[in-house]
This record gives sequence, structure tokens and C-alpha cells, in this order.
Amino acid sequence: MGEGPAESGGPRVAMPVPGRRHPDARPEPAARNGGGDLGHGEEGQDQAPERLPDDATVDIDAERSSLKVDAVLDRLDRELVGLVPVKTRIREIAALLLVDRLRGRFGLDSSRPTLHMCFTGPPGTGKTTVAMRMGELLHSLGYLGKGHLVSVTRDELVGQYIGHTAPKTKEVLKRAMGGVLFIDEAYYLHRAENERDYGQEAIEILLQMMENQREDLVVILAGYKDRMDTFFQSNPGMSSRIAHHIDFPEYSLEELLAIGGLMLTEQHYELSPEAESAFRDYLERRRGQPRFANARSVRNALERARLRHANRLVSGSRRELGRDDLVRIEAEDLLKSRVFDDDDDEGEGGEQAQ
Amino acid sequence: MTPSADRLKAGVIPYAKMGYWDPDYEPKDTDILAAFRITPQAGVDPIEAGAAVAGESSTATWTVVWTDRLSAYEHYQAKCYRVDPVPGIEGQYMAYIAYDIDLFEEGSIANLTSSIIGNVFGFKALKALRLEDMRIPTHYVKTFPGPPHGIVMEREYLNKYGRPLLGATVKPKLGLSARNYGRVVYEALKGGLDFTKDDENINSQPFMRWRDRFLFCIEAVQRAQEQTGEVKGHYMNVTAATMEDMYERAEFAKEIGSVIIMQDLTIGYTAMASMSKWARKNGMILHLHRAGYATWARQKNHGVNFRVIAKWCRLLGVDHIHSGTVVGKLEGDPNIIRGYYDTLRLDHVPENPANGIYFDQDWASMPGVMPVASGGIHAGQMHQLLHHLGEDVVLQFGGGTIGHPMGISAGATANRVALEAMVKARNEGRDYMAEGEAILKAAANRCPELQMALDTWGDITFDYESTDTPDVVATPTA
Amino acid sequence: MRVTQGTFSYLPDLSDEEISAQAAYAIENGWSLAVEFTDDPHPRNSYWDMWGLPMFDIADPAAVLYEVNQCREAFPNKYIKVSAYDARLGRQTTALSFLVNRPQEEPGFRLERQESGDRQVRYTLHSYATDKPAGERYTTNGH
Repeated sequence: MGEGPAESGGPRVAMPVPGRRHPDARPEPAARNGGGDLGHGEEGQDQAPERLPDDATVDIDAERSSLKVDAVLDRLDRELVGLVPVKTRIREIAALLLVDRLRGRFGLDSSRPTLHMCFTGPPGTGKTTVAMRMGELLHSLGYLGKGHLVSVTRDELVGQYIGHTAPKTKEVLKRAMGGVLFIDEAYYLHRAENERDYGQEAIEILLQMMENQREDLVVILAGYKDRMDTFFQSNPGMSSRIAHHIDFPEYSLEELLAIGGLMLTEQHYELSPEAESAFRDYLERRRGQPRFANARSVRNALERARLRHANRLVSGSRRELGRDDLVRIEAEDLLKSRVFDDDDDEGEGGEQAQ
Repeated sequence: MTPSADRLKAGVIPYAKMGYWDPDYEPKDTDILAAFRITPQAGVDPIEAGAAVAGESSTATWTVVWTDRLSAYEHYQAKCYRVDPVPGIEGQYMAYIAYDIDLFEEGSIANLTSSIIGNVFGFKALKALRLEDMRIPTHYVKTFPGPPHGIVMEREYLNKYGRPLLGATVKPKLGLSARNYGRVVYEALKGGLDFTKDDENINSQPFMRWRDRFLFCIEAVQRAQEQTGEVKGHYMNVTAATMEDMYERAEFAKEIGSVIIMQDLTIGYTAMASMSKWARKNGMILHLHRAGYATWARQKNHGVNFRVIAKWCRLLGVDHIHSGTVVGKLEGDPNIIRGYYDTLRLDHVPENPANGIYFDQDWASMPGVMPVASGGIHAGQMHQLLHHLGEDVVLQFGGGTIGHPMGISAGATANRVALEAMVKARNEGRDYMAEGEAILKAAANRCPELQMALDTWGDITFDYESTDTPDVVATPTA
Repeated sequence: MRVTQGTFSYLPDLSDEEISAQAAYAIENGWSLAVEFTDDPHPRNSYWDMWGLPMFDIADPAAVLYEVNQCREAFPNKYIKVSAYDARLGRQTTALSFLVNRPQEEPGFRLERQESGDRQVRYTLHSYATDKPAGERYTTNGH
């Protein structure tokens, strides 16, 4: 059997004892949200210890390490290349929430800060990853019960006919409770030109939940900056509920190379020196072309390089291969890409044949 | 195994040479297997003893007979395929015997028992003999009806989930007249128990005839339902001298609206099988009291282990069966009792010598039987009961309800509050075994009935060495 | 009177935190959770009205509490229960069920006896609630 959350004290509300009270006596109405048996740390929960006296002090580092906040932040640093302003902002938010907790221990209860956010930027810049870490961070600081991530787009929220939307949106919201709801390309919810569009209904429900269920849910909207701005203009209610706007800029060339490097190391591949400069060349060209998706495009490119590497080995003249051969990617594995065809100016249909 | 010419010469031949001992035999999936604990007489070879048991529980007789040649007797012979010494006990061995499925009538426990234990236990060459376990193959399991309802159906019928059920046997055992008997039922059910129970020896005596008892009890049950809004029941004991009388009593119980009836083991397997069929047909939960079982199940070296009886009862079909309490006044080593409970409740019971389970047993989706724990238990042991026995069990607190200083209803309430508080604490993730007393105390703060129960019985324990312990752990653990 | 159906009815009514704890236990065990309500608490009423569909994929009890409170808001004077369902082979039935809301006044039941021959009585349990039509039970002023 599973372990539920920590203890509960004995019941605190007077119980109507069957057979003891006069049959006409009304039972006491039971306390609910207030003096509940698990609440207010009468016997101490592991998340909200007793209130400290005014002259006590708290060790900020001890508090931090006991919450394992740094583990999440360090993982963020390791996993994602660049994104310095984003990481800084996350650390700032973590600091705010940590201090809020400390204040809470002295009984200085300020209202729970608004935690809904908006991540803007092109695809492949780490928005989903950061959203996931945000969930973990909020969980370790005690702001979310579980801290899991539910990632959706408009289609999972909006229905196709009358009455379909509300239950659909609510289902998704319930699944996300206790964690983070990440809505990618959120602006598609609002299709002003189509009157039979039910996106507005989903927006209404979202707004209500974002306001009333702040304790249980954090919403993160994501998408291109300009389109999000337009969206917010026509939905001021939504805009007012977002506390943090974080922009994820396009990666620089050096950053993309570093990302590629991380991916290769993870997969136990190496680039030969010629391959390295071929890769740089590749990225320079590819960046300029349409539908470039930053880290995702880097991943796709490396996947294709692996494919060519494998085929080169299998159909090559040398039949005895060593570890080096299996690990090293050569320049030709990259140069075969269509990106290098000068007459290819339509862009590739998606990322397929590069 | 083709016999030698010597095999068929008239005269006496050792069983082991007649084909009853075959160490190379691979038991088939369709075989019924039995594990016997044998104590041969001094000078008797253990293998010969094992072979003799195989022989005497299947085709053998003490001398060669020519009529054997009229049958394909190798097919019908039981084969003893393994004999192991029991660790730590001098002169005792475990013999494993396989029986072909052809030996048995489909769906008949009467036949199964007549075959396996009908002849061999008086055998002179053995000082003692105990049937420890049996493996019933799926092919044979499927010929039996199984419990009339089973654990899941019973809960749905009563609409009670997530906690053990509570019962109590009416006390005093004998002497109350019908109306006063009903009073005990009413008070106990109203106070919070789910069931009350006739004792095994309450059938239809001069001081209280069955019909009068049934009428007063159903009034009590209905009154308690009215007071609580829950489904309640009283196990009406329909045990009688003949099947016809039993049917009459059961039909009457059904007519007046009881949800459950009971029978005693002493009616025999055939009667129990008939009642099982009737109970399913008439939507009646069927409780079995294992009356008399300890005469043959208690001693470690001789008899039939209760786990085998439990298997037989699950096959022929009962919904409840008394199975031991671990911490109460009656015999029970915790691991052995765990073995019984697993045998009754699980769909697949793996071999586990520490719990006394000698064979893997697959029940092929046959519903489980609700075990009943009864005998000297009280509210102060609630954490131990929940820990040892789990959630799918009926906890019966006879003395522990009726003996409560504030009255029967108070006793029932005390037990119910203790149980709910313990289940709630377990679900919340508390270490309820370690904190059991604290949890009960906290619940008792709001429930004077429970406080009084803890004060009255808090110190009572029954600590005797168990007579039946697993072979694998040398020291008793009761 | 106090209807004592459900697993924890002999304890004081559960607080929201306690309901969450039980819901967390159910989620831990992989059981789905459902909210149901009724105004007819007869013990043989197996089919209370469903408040939405059972919740199968939730990770946190917050969702359950949300629905419970929504249901309480809609029907403050009805019986509301939370049920957890175990879909595993061999069970496929309810695993846990407890009340989370009761009407202010619970008039309870009346035992109706119809005497028939030979000292037998035919019993029926009549719940006072059903004296009034659905929608008007347990109310003093509509709802």
C-alpha cells in the first residue's frame, strides 16, 4: 500500500456520539477549511514548522539546502546552454519564494505571490524544459503539491461543438492541478475572426482557474513574442494575471555549437576537426533559412549526420572498424546536407531532407 | 513404468517397488499434488512410508491381486516423487505425492477427501500423518463453483468499502430465549457493527427454536438499519440434522429478508456443497463456522492442516470462513495464519515455506473467501489486527462488544470508532503499528465508549507458544 | 439522526485536508476518484448521481477537492461522497468510499411493517427524504 502525505493529529471537532445525544439534537456542523485536523501545524507538518518567536534567526543556507532548491537550479544550469537572462530570472523568483517562506515562519503571512508566467521566444529555445524545472522548483519550495508538467496546445483545450469545451478544458486543468499547465502557442486560443470558435470559452475558464485555484495550479503560456503581445492586447484579463514575462532569445551561433557539443557527448560521438568547421558552416547557413528551430534543428542535423555516418561505414571499402571509426563523425557526413546546395532557396519541407 | 514379471507374482511386495515411489516422476500440470508430513514407525524406511501413503491413498492393497491386470493401473497409481527430512525434527519427513486427475470426480470435495484422506490415516506403519497442503490444478479448480458470492460481491451488496467488516457472536452462547437474543443483536448492530452471529451450537434447542430466533433477529436487524441507514445482517444458523431441515430454515431466512445465513463445518462437505449451490441461487451470503476443525487440524504431526480445509471450502463455495486471529485467544502463529489468509483471498498464492505454503496455487479467477477473525480480540488490538490480517476480513468482537461496561451498543461503537480511526491513520501514511496506541488514545479522546473499552481490556493478551509453526523458522513466533 | 454510510462515518466529519490525504492515498494506489451526490440516502440506493466523470489521470488531490467544493456549492444540502475505484484484475470494484457532505438536518428513515400471517412481518425502509419530490428534499427555502 502506498504512503500518503505525513501524519494527522487526532480529530479535533466534537463528534456527535450515536446513541448518546438526544435524538432531536442536531449534530454539530463539522469544521472544514479552518480548524481542520491536519491544518495549522498543531502537531507539526514537515512543510510548515511552528511559528518562530520574533527574536529568533534563521540560517538561509540551511533552509535552502534542506529544500533541495539548488539541485533544481544547478540542473537547469547544466542542461541548458546560454539563456543567462532566463536563468537569472528563475533564480530571482526562487529567492523571492524562499524569502516568502522564511517570512511565513515568523508568521508574516503575505498573500501568496502570483506565479503564472509567459515564456516568449522562437521554438527550440528551451521553454518546455524550463517549465518542467519551474514545476520542480515550486514543488520543492512548497508552492505546488506535486510539481508535474502537463503540456497542451489549443486543440486539447477547445472543443468542436457547443458544450464540448468546458468539460474538455476542465479535464485538462484537473490533470494539471498540483503542477504546471504549459500552453504552447497559447494565442491560437483566440480566433477573433471566427464567431463559431469556442476558444473564448476556454479562455474564460482558464482565467477563472488562474484566479481562484492559484494555490493548486501554475499556468505558463508560451509562443512567439509578437503574437503573444497581440494576444494580450485583446485579452487584458489574461495579461493581468501573468506575473512574470520571460523572453527566450534566439541562440547565438556559439551557443548552438555548444548545444551540439553537449548532444554529441551525451551520445558518445565526436566531430573530427574538419567536421567541426563543417558543422559551423552548416549552422551559419541553416540559421538564415526559414523554420529554424534552434536546439531542435541542431538535434535533427546531428541525427542525420549519424545516419550518413552509419551508411558510410556500412558501404565503405574498409571492412575492419575500430572504436574511433564508430565514434568519429567526418566532414562529409555533414556536407552532404542540402543546406549546402546553393540553388536550394525554397527552404526544406520541414526538416526532412537536410 | 513397465513392471517386472516379479511385480505380478502373488504375495507382498514393498510399496516402493510396486510403482508408488518414482523419484524421476515429473508432476503433470493436471495432477493433484499433496504434501504429507509423515512420521514412520521405528524401522520403517521413509521412502517406503511415503510410497505406502501414495499407495493407500490411491490404488494399493496390502498384497498383490490379479485383478490389477484388468486395469491400466500405472495410470491410477499415485506417485510419491520426493521425500525430504523435516529440518530440526527427528524422524519426521515431508512426502510429495502426485495423483492423476482421472482419480477424482468433478466438482466433488466429498470425493476428493474420501480419496486422499479416506483410508491412509490409520495406517499402522505410520506413527503419525498430516496432510499439510494440496495443489489443485486449474483443470480441477474449474469444475467447482467457488464461493456463492465472494469478497467483491459481498462488499458491493453491503455497500461497504475500504475497511474490515465488524461482527460479534451473541453471548451467552446458550440459554437466551429468542426475544432477548434479538435485543443483543439490535444493540450491537445499532451501535456500529455490520454483522452479528449465531454461535455454532445454536441450532434449534428447547430453550430457543430456530424460527422464533429468526423472527426476532430480523426485527432487530431491520430496526438497526432504520437507525443507521446502513445494510446490516445477522448470520442465521441453518445447521440442522438433515438437509431437508436445512433447506427449510434457509428458505425461511430468505423469506423474511435476511442477507446472510451460516452453517457449521460439522454438516459435512456434501451438505456444504448443496448449501453453496442454494446460496448462490438465492442471493444469500453464506458464512461457515469451522466447528470441530481443531480436532484434526491442531496438532503439528497428525491430521489435516487448516489450510487444506480452507482450500476445500473455497472450492465448494463459502463466502466467509473463520481463519484465525493471531492475537486472540485461539491458536495461531502469524506466518501460518498469513498463509491461510492468502489461500483464501489471493488469486495466485506462490510457494512460501515460511508461511507453510508448500505449492504454488493458482485460483484461476475464482473469487476469494472473506476470512473471519474471531476469538478473544478487542479494540485495543486494532492496529495489530489491521496489520496482520489486512482489510478484507470480518473482525468479530463477541466478548469485546457485549462485555463493555457501558452496554452492548457502546461496545459496538467503541470497536467501530477504533477501526475507522486506524484505517484513516493507515491511509494517511502513518506508521500505525508503531503509533497504534497513540492513534487509539486520540480517537478515544472523542469517544468515551472507546476510552472505557481501552481501560477495561487494554492489558489483555494471549501469549502461549503456538503448537503449529512453520518448519522453516525454528523458534515459535506467536 | 446521522446516516453512517461510508468508511469514516463514525469519526468527526473529515476536514478538507483529511479528504486530501485520503485522495492522495487513492492516487498513490492508482485508483480513480469520483464524486457522487444524492438526496435519497436509502441503504439500497446504489446509484447516486455522478458529479462529472470519474477522474482517472490526476496527479494531485487538489483536483478532487476542487470538484468536491464545486459540488458542495451546487448542492450544499445533499449527501456527497468521494469514491475510489480499483480497476485491477481480481478487484474491479470500489476500493474506498466516504461522505464529504451532509444535509443540515437528517430526518433519516422509518421502518414500515406490514404484518402478515404467522408472526411474520414484511419490512420496508422508508426514507423521509423521499416524502418530498426530488429537488425539494432537505430544503427549507429551495435548493
